[in-house]
Amino acid sequence: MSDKVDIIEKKVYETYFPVVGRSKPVRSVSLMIKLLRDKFKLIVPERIVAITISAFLSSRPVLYEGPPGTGKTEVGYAILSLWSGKNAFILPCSENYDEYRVIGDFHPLMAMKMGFTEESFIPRPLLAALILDTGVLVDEIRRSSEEFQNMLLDIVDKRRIVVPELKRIFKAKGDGFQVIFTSNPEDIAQNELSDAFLRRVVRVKFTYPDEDVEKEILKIRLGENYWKLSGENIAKMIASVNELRERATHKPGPADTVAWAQIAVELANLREKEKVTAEEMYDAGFSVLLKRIEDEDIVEDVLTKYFGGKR
Amino acid sequence: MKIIKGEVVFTRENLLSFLVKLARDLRTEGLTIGTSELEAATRLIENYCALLGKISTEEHKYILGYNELMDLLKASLLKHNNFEKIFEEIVRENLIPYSMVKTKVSREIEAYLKDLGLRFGEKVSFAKMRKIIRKRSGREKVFETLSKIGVIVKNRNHGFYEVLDEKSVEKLLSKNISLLRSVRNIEELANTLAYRKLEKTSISKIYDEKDFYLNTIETAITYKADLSRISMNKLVNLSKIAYLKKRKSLLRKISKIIADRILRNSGELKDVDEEILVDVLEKANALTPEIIEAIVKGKPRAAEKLLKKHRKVVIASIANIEDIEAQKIIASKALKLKLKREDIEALIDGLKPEALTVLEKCKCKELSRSEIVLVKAVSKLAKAFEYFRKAHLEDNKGYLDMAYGMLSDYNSLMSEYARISKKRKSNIEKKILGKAETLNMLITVATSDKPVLPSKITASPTIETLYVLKELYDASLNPKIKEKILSIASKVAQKLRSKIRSSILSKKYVKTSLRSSNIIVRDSIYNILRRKSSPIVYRRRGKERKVTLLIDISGSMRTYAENAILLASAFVKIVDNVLVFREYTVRVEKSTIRFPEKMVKFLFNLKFGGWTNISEALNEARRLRSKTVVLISDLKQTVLTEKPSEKARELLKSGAELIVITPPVYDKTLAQELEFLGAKVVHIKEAQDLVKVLSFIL
Repeated sequence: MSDKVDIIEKKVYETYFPVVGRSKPVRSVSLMIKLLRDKFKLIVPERIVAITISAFLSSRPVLYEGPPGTGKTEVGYAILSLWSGKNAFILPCSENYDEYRVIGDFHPLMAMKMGFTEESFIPRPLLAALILDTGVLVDEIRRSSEEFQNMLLDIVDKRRIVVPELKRIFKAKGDGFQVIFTSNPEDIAQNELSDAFLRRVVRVKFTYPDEDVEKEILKIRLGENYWKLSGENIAKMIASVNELRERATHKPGPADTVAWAQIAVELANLREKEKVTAEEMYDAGFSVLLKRIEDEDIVEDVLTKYFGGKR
Repeated sequence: MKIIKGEVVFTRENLLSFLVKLARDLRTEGLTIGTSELEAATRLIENYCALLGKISTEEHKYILGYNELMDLLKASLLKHNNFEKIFEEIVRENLIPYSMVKTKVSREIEAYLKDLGLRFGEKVSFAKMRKIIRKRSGREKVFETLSKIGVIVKNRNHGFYEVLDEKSVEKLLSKNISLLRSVRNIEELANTLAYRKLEKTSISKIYDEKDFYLNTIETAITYKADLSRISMNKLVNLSKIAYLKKRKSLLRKISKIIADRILRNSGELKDVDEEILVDVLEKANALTPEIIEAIVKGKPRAAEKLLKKHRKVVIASIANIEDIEAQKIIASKALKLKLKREDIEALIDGLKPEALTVLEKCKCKELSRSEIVLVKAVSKLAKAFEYFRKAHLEDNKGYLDMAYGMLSDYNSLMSEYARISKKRKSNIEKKILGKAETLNMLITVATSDKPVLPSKITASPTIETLYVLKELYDASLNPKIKEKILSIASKVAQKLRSKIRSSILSKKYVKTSLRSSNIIVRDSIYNILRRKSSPIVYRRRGKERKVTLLIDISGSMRTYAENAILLASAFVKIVDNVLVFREYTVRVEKSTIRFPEKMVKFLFNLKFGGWTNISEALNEARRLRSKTVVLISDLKQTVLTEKPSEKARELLKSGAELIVITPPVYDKTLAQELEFLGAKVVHIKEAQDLVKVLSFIL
């Protein structure tokens, strides 16, 4: 590189570097699983981690698919961050997301004054990720337009970004720049992913965790508070969450289970009780698990079945 | 590729040739796999093995668990969840070929034969076989398994059992090769084969080998096999045999299944012997009021036997029967008996006005004189109406004379009634008079030249208004009046249509350069800066997708179907095809749904009820190559053809999207299957919600 400092790179470093931080990149599966558990408090099956890393090694983007609340976004973010050793960027997609929002934009007034130059250019997350050599998590890819998906694919495939207004090409410097997409195929109001898109990605399926894994998640997430819940209550809790996953329209994920347990513990603290009783479980459950009004009867039914009636 | 203790061992060469062959097989099934994907899969698998240290060093072989390999292949090659099952099947076939499974099964059969001390091709007399079986305790089971598979065949005419020779066994297995993999052991294979035999066999054969088939159905019930392909008649006969053989628990189980099936669709009873049916259900204590009602609905002739013990229930169920002929049959059977006053009252209450002709036969010993006269009068009136209809339908003037004859009989009877009736009228009289009034209105509508319409119809139209109009339309005989009613109905339909249209708000917008009232400021400014030729960007409604509507018009779906057709007409631009189906499928012309008059005429002439054949409808939808198919149905397949889930799979495989909308009562298993295949299943609570759901999709 020439000794002249690149204006855009400088801008990127100034704006985004404080956000990304720096640690040692992780390349081994076992170490990554351990770090995911210790640092991010996530329990990820070896299968998911290994497939994701193998995909990165063959420089393919990964698509995480599964019902809501199964931790796609969190797991993706954590793996990307560990992989590149820098905090990953998250692009939450929406219908009118376009290249100006992710690659870069021109400040309107400055562009009026000076035209399309590097001074008036504002770099955005995707370009920043490429320059900083860090991962990008594209959340809910189905919500974006097909045009946007194709643009992303081109960038991921060739590992470079072209900004025609500046007549410049930015190239990835290392293998830290990786992309993970997440999507929920059960959502009815979203775009379908095109065949061309699906052909290029490696798909990883997420499902609700087993009972034991869910217990483990609770243990990690609740820390000290875990011991305030009796074993019986935890078993009942997981059973009722599983029943709701079958019956209700809003299916609670592990995150909801954790929130339920947390709130129940806090309630018990407020009521100055040693241990969480069925009463707290019921109250907390009703406020956490009921997300849609049409589920009201089902949630009440399930909670009454496991934790007794309203008092 | 070799499989050693559940782990797949392969070299790089093996992997490549395996992937190429797999891709070829997948392509023939319609899954497009490109070379670049194969490359990616190879690299993914190699990287995975390298990462987790799954390489044996001495020969440079990769070692992967079977499930791991499947996961990796799915991650890199499988694009749509819809194909997951097919994909797994093909991979399995490539990894573990059929021949391996076949040898395993034939070895097991050999071992079983050895256990019995028999050889291939041997012939054993009945008596000797009995001896062999009794020799040791476990042998009976072994013998049963082998005869279920068909290795031991009973030859009734010559009085011996024959063991098939080796070649025939081989042939037998090749015939059922697709089954071999899905079963876990030889017993399961035996049960499945025997069950298939039961599906195909005739009733006389069932009586020939009673024990064999009773055992088969018992295992099928305990393993919760899908019994829907066994005809009702067979089930009824099987339960009769179970009763004769004194196997009470089995009798109860089968009659429970029969009862469930009757409740679901009473149309299945058409070719069942009603005597046996009622007998069997009686013995099993399964005759609840709901079942009785369903039986009478599907098989009115069964009423005769049922009336003896369940008089009240049968008479009460008349009111719920739509079909006038069925009502007449049941009522005439009931009237042969000595009925009490309250029974007669209930009977008259339940009958439709048109069915009152049966009252002619009323013995009426319990009624007063004035009541008897009234009963006679109203039966004449109903007869008159029937003759009017016949005169019109068959275009036979002779009937008209008979009708007027009946009318004059009615008038004279009524004047006699007026003479002898008391001031205080009994309940029966009140009810009959009410029915007579409706009949009179129907007759005037049928015969007069001006339409007589209730005034509330035109004020605030609802879908019920259309029902009333339909009734009048059916009753009227004069074509001019029919037309008049149609034109009123089409106005009502138009009002309903615009109501639906206005209740829908469009949400999706796209950017466009075509002029509209909505400007996107931000994009426009940029375009001006970039000096584009047409810089202003507008917001516009998104392009809708083209949809094929599949509408179930079986009896229970009536309100939903009518709402759906109305909706389709409100969205004629988006709706590509409308198919309505019962046991057959009809494509509705586009002009029919576009013009209200035609649509109303179509709606009025639509007959609801009968059997349902979802498979054919799905097949038809696939033929039309629509991208989005919306199926509005309760998913109760009553025609026994190919499974609807198979057809749905084919439809989904062709790349279409399937959305299923069901009423609150629907077939849960099929819904789950469809959901599993990748269809979207939406449940709605009432017909009005259809508007919301459809507008969201369209």
